Amino acid sequence: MNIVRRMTLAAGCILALATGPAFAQSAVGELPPDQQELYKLVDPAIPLGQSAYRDFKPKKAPPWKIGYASTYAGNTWRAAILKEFTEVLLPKYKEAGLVSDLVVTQSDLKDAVQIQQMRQMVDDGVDAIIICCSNVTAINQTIEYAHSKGVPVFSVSGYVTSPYAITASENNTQGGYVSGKWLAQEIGGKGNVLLVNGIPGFASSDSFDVGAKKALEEFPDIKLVGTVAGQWTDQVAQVEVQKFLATNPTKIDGMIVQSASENGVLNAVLQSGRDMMPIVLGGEASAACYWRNNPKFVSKSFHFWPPASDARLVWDVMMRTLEGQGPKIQSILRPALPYTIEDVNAALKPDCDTNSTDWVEPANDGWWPASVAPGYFLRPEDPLAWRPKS
Amino acid sequence: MNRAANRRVLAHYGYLAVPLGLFIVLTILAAMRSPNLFTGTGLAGAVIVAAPLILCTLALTPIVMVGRGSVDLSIGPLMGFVNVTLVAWLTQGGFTHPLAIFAWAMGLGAAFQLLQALVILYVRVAPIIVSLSSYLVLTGVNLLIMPRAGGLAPDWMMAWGAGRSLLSPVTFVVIAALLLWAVFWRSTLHGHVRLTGADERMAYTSGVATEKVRIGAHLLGGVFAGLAAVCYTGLIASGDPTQGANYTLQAVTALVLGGASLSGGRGGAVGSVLGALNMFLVANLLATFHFEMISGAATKLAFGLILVVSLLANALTANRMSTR
Repeated sequence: MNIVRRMTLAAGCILALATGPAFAQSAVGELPPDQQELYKLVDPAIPLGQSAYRDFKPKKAPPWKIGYASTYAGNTWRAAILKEFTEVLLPKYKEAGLVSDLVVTQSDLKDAVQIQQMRQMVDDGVDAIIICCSNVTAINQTIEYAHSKGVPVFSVSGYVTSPYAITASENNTQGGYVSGKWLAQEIGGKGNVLLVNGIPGFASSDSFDVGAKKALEEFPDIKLVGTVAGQWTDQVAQVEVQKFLATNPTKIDGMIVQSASENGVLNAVLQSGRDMMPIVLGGEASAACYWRNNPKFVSKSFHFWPPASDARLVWDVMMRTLEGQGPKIQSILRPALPYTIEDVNAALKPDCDTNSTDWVEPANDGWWPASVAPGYFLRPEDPLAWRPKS
Repeated sequence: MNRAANRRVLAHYGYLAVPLGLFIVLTILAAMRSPNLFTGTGLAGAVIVAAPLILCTLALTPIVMVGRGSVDLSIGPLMGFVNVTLVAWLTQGGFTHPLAIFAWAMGLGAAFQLLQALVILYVRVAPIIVSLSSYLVLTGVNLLIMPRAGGLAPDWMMAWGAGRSLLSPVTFVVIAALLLWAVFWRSTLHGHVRLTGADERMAYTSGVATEKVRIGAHLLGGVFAGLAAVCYTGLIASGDPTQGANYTLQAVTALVLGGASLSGGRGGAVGSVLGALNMFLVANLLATFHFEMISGAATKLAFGLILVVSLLANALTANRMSTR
């Protein structure tokens, strides 16, 4: 039975759905109570069992070689996540003597190529692999292969169903839900809404849509008049929304947008000559700059998948696992974080660039707070200060 | 007389020189940069990853050989269609016997290709348009059958993707496909396909039943497409409605790299397999360089350049042969 109940969380109000049986069998019960709350609205396909790496010991002592098998590089989000790995995290952990090297590959959304690259990494002796935003099932056999060679696989921004992987990701269904609900309230609970999703068939995109549609269903006067695929890329989303607006003269009162395409959507509306309507923003600094210049545009926005913060999240989880801290649960999920015009004013200068490729990130360690992380591990320690015990 | 015979062999198989040369160069480079590829698990991994592309390229080969510029753009989505139906319909419906799976895959592939051949022949639409329409339709249908990647392959197939041994079932599927090609190669159909592709009018006036030949070529391609889907399902041990488009582009590239002529008449299994293997080796080699953000761009650039260079080399060797 589904129980919908209201709860208050940090700065936002989140409605959540608890699915009884999945909840009971999972490792969610081992997490601190405030974190358990975050798992009440979750895509049922996301595995929440006990992690296979609770007693994991790395195959050798540090420094470790890390592989990053990305699937795509065509947007600002991917660039930001890689930049955080190579320019911030790698130097820091190299200096601490914990990591020796980071090998990066990119498969251009081809599963077979990603499988090949991951196997190559394992055969070439990496100690852990980070994958980004992969197919949820296609690389499970490869993850099992890596596991058999003592190489744990960490999935950032998007889950995989293999029991031998650890997912460190945003909770997309919850993100879709809170953004859908916010938009519905922002437009007064009635009107026409356009949904600009990511890539249909991809887990993050579909999980987000499920949440967003669920929220809209709670408002009988809101009509979802269309869905277009923005492919998480500004230019694609801009063209798709332009096409939609040109062929659908109906009034659009608001748009739910999966982030990394909100600036494209914004530009499409500006070019169409229509009055600006509320749009769900993620963290693109370009769209945030428009908001800074037009403070009445929306009342708030959300960090759904802040790239640098996501990179730090998965890196932290990976280091802790390699250090034998014992992750409790298969999937570590972060909720969407609301932010306001004050945060934008603090992050961007008045002469900000509406074509920026940067991201507005949660302040400090808001995405994966140092106070929260230990609750997800059996033997927590500071991952950067950790040294092998001889 | 010996020289005449040599020249005939060269004229027949000279187009293989470029793909074979490229294969040798790439193998040496791979041995230097990525020696792990030539270990037991390395080769086992190579087979399971390369098999779907090899079979997709093989599926394109008879269809392109029969002429009229019939490059089957729908090959990737067709493989995806068989993949999602195998997972969403058969496996979930409990029909998991290997015979049922293979029969369904090959039968569905052949049936779809039969349909395309009939449209090309009797509705008289250009093959490229027919296959482009199929590509678009199947891409949509796949998402309808399986809105997102998931599901499970039959139990007996689950271990295929682990790729721990070179003598995996995938290897045997590829060998079986090559044997099937050998049977085709020995048959009169092979000669008729080449003749029809080289000059359809001449073939017709020589008494070749060109329509039946075209249907035959499509049926054969469909069987290979089905086998490609079986190997692909084994590789990912699940269903995926989104990967089809990738395979179309890769298979057409591999086909051309293998020396087949897109205008028909020329091509074969050896060239297509070499083309697909070369694609695999290039991807493998590129992964050993630290291209990071631009590795996708580097891969595309490399494929593009290799394609242009091998087309030029092909054109030059063809010229030399015809002037002799």
